[in-house]
Amino acid sequence: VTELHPAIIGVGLAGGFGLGKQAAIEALRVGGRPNGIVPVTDTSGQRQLPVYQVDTSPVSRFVASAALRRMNRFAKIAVLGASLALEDAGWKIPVKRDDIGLVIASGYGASKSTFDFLDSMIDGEGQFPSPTLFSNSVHSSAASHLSIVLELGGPCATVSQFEMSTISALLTAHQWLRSGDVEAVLFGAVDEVCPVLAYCYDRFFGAEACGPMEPLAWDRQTGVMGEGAAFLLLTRGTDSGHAYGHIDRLAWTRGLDVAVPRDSVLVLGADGHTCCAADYRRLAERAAAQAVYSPVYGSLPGGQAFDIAIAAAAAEQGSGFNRICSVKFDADGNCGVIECTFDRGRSESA
Amino acid sequence: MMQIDEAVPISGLGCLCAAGRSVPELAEALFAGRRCVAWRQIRGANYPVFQLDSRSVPAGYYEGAECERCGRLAIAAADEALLHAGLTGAHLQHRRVGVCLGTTVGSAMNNETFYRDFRAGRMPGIEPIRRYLRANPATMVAEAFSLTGPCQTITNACSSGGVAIGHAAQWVRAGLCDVAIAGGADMLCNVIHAGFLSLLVTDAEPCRPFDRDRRGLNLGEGAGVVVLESKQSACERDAPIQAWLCGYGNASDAYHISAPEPGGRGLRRALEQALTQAQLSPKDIDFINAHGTATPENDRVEGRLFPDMFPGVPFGSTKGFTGHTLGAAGGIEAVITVRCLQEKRMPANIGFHEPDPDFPGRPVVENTPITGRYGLSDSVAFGGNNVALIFRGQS
Repeated sequence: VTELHPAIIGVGLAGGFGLGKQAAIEALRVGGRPNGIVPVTDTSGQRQLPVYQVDTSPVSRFVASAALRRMNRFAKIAVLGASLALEDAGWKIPVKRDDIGLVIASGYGASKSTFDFLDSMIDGEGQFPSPTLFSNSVHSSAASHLSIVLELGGPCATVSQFEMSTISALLTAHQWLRSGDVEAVLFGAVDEVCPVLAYCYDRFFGAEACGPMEPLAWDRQTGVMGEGAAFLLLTRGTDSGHAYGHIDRLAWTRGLDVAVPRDSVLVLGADGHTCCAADYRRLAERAAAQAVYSPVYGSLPGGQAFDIAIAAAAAEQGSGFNRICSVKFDADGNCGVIECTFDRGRSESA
Repeated sequence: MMQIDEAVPISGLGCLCAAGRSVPELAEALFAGRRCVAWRQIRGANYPVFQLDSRSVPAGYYEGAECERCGRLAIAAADEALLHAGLTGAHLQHRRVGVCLGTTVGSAMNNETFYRDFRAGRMPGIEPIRRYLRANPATMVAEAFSLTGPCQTITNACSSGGVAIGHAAQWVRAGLCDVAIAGGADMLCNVIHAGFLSLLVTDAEPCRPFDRDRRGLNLGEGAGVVVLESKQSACERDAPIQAWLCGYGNASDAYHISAPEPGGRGLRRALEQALTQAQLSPKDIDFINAHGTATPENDRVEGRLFPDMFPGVPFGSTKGFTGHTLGAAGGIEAVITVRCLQEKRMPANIGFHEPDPDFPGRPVVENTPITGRYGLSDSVAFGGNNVALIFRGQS
């Protein structure tokens, strides 16, 4: 898709690196690392699984405590990312508008609430389980809470396509802007770590799940679980004086059918998984310059949104690149391509 | 303000649910007033459900992994829709074909057996998780038909199927796809059933949409799919045009995590957007296939809003025939709406007996002729998302 170039006017990041773009840039500078531990027990005994975790306590800065009581952790992570993006764009919270679209991308949805609800079912045999946990367990719960606390009455969608969630959801954001359905889209990728996912990760990868992340060590499994939110506030780009830059092209393609523009830095979505390493490696060999940001935020399905947000923030501070081509593969050979142009020195000019 | 856009041809329909294992069977059951209620024991009590009978489910449905069932239902519905559209493997190979499907259970990681083993420290194997990772409904359909276009699984709760059709139409209009397979698929699942029981919105009797004595919904399962096609693609192969999708609206209540906004604010906006996109006024709409879950709150919102926005326009819910199929509902009801336009009649709202004095809307109580060309289908989701689709029949 090329005919419309949405402007990125706000960036919101929450992850193991901390909150906000400055924390992400600092992690990029010093090298990211996991900041949490989830204990898991598998057939070889107990292990401390390192993870990238979000501290959700600052969410109280954006949401009244009464609303927070009804909100699960998944939604709190989303609210943090979304609020930071709006704040970054200079928008007031709540937004109170009906012409803003909301698109959420998530690989696993509200996983902790899903299993908490199962707990309430199993523990309360013969009684009804918790309705609040059920309401919070559906994938759309983050979008619902966001629409309520930000007072967004516009179109809303939650997309769940594992590693292709970001490109798929951004295609929708683009279509909404293109059709004139909305004036802006608040787009975000959200995922959370929970004990069951950590157990699964450990069973899949064993000791290799302990990192450290080395996404360019193509032959080794080094992915470390991450969670967080990466939000972008997008507009049609007609008034982009204060924009980070623009999304030039979105493409859903297969295999290595990716042409990286010669003047772009290839941002690889490689996050330490050997299943996709060969695809990334072949692409990297053809690129003039490349970057990998996953050690900043960890391995999670919506990682491509973090790549775009971090690239925008780095470019703003003069430590990034003017043009990037972000590429994310899934294990089935699907590929999401997002090309962006950034204007350096946004802080000075804005 | 929504931009005026072009209608998108619908060249094929596919559906399977408790009321029928194909679109013709479903239509026959709807107009015969026949509903097939089964009973399922959940937490010590029997509840009516609308489940697929063993003759109608795809191979491997009962035997296969639970999480793959939504995808299997979607594949079966897509198979019927592609056949209906006359799209062969050769056609698909030479076109950019996308898949956009709504679901709830199909994306949920709620394998009860696995989790019970995990909780008990029995260290379950991860084969169920591998299956879950392979069970994304849109991906399963794309792989089944060797499609390489964009894939999107929408998880907007009960409006998912309608949203998926709206998004797929945008892809076709924008030239992202020549053809898009769109709709929804969902299956019965004890965990989800327990969730609706916890919300106290489940009727212990067969559901009664818009009735004074309604007590809530009955869950159902199935899949409903439409084939959307660009005008150029349809023209090139002289495709059969079943109807046109000419309006789509999507708006949020921004009100409550599980209850609709009592005044229908978000639903009204979604309906207005769909009308604007279709370049129609409310009086142009000839009938409404309502969401009509038979929960007190949902039916009150629609029962007040429809007479206000669409005075005199007949409406009814078909959930008395299909049950509430959650993420599939928008897809199944889109198929029903198009079929009603083709048959030039809409089915009676089964389960309705006594008007509710709390709202003025009265659903149709018998099969009702349709004289015009425009049918509207709406979906109202848990969490406050509202969707409206407007279809135009062939003249």
